[in-house]
Amino acid sequence: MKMMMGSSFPEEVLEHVFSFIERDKDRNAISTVCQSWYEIERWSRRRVFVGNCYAVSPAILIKRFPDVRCLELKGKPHFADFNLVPEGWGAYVAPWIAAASSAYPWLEEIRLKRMVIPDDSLELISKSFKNFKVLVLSSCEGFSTEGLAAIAANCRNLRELDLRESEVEDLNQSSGHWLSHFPDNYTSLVSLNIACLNSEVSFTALERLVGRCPNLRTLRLNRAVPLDRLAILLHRAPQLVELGTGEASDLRPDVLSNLLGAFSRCKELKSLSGFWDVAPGYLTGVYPICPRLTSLNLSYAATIQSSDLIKLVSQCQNLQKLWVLDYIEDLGLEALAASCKDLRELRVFPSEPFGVEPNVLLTEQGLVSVSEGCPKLHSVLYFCRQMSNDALRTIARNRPNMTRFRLCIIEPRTPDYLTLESLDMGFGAIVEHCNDLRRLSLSGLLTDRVFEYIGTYGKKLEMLSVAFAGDSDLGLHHILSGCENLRKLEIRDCPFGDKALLANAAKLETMRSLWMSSCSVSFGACKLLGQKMPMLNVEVIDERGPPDSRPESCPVEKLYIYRTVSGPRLDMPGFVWTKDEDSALGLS
Amino acid sequence: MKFCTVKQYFDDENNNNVTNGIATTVIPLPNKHLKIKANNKEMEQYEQELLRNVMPQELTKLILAANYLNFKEALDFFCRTVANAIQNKSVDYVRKFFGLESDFEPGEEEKLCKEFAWSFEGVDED
Repeated sequence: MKMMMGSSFPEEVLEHVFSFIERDKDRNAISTVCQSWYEIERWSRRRVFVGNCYAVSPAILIKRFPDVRCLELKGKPHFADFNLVPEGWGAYVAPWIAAASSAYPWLEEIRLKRMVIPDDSLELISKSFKNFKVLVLSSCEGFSTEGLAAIAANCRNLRELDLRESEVEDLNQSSGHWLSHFPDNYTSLVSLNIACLNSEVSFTALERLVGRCPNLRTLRLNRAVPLDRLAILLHRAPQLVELGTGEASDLRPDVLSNLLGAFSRCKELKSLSGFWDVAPGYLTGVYPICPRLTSLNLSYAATIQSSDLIKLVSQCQNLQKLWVLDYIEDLGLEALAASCKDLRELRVFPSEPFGVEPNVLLTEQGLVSVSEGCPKLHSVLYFCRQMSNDALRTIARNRPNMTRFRLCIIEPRTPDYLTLESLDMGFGAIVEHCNDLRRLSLSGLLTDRVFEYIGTYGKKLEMLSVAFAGDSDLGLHHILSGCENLRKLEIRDCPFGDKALLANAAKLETMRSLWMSSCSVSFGACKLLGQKMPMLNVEVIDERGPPDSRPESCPVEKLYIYRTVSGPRLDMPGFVWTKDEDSALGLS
Repeated sequence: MKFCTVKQYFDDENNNNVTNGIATTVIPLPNKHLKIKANNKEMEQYEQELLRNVMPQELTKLILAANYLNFKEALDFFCRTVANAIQNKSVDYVRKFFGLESDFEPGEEEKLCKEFAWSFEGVDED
């Protein structure tokens, strides 16, 4: 349908229309309609997501969007989670915070993932943004409880403080008292996640804080808060929707009955996590709320065995998300499939990832059961020790609605245990049947064939993780030339080299990033790529000294390629090499 | 406040901003909106009907009228309808929809798309 409006809309009306358009893709589209729309859009964009902090600079961001209220940044590549990125690599957020502190006085939300944030930056945040509401630090590091104290003391409008999986240092012994820096008249807390804190927090301060914040919905405690104190907190906050317990190793009947009483008053509770070292007897305390639960994270409950897990999940008919250890075993997953028809996401973590022999009865069968019984299951992370093409085919046919499929067969290059063949066909079935697959992690014995399947069928694939797979450059070529929507590719220990990389150089400009470690890419190819493609930063990570000191054909240790509009970064450590380095300049 | 503006309109005979037909559509809107406010599905259907049955030029006038009359609910509704109509569409579609043409210098638009669009586009959780 056509409209003949054009210039008859006053600016405020256009702004009003734009205020209902939130997705980045849509905002980017409307900003390129014409010059006046570009201007209106850029002044009214409030939420910005920067998927790679080195893809753009603070100055460029601020110049384009002068009035941002919510900023999200991601730093290190995903494989940093597996300790593949050396200390000191980068992802420093300080320059961003410094720039934002003067440019965005009305900033309300900062979300960071895998970035380094010093206490100074936390203090600057707490003093620069009068309306600051949300701070989420996901897998971040570089700060201590001192920084948290500044946030607590100064952010009068703080609603959310979420430290998920960050590393927080404790500089002094009275560290737990950062919580008491929240002023007595501060009551706006809605969400607090301190599960990752290793040190103790002052329980008195915590109790008073919880008691005076009537809108508190999410409370994820750390290990150090014992279960007997939990009942006290729950009595203060019966309106909680999401709760993470502390540790619970000592089973005491009085504590259990207090807990039962406290839980019975929490009518809104839908999500549970924590349970470090929980004594199985305490689980009965949870039974009354099981039917209401939509999310359960038992990945730290290393003391709960299969039979208790079965009893628990069988009562969670409304469960949508389950994260659990492989102690659940095939039998437990069968029970899950039978009871939890609304399940959308399943993650099964290994209890003993470095053991040689299987310690639990968890096989491919568990995942097959869940794929059969749970029609809404679309997101899977599954660690196991054996898999077959048959099982993967069955899973693919059962769940064509799969969007995220991450399979981790613990031992590299494990073949189909029934036929001893590669798992090419099985993963091929996954990409062929699951037309909406956006995320895929491969494992097991795989040849170049699987990449041919992925290149042919994986048209919606956005992120792919590959390890110990493939035979030759052809494998990499299939992925880069076939997967039209590929944004992030991470590869380790595969025989992929220069040819496929150089032949698909243009593709790299359409992606956010490519990581390759322990592959066969030469420094010569890296230099060439860097020269050919000025919109890419081609960074070699090599701790063995200047790449020039080795033959040009010698493969680099690690390689991180990403597109950027702000040129080479200025904060590269000594072990990162680009096309501009030579042995003399490479030392810093 | 909206009733003040309406009253002013009816008192001011020289007002050309809002024709009778448009006022007839806009003014009863809040009632309909209130009546079906509770039901999102019905609202969606009404929205679709509106887009299908109301001539584009009329929709333009409706929005301008709602803006002039300061009818917040009506303005919200129409703007949201238009926003929904252009979500997940290409730039060309949006241009056609609004009857606009690109006035960027040659190559400038491509530069914008290439250099800026992807810096700020999200992918997924990992």
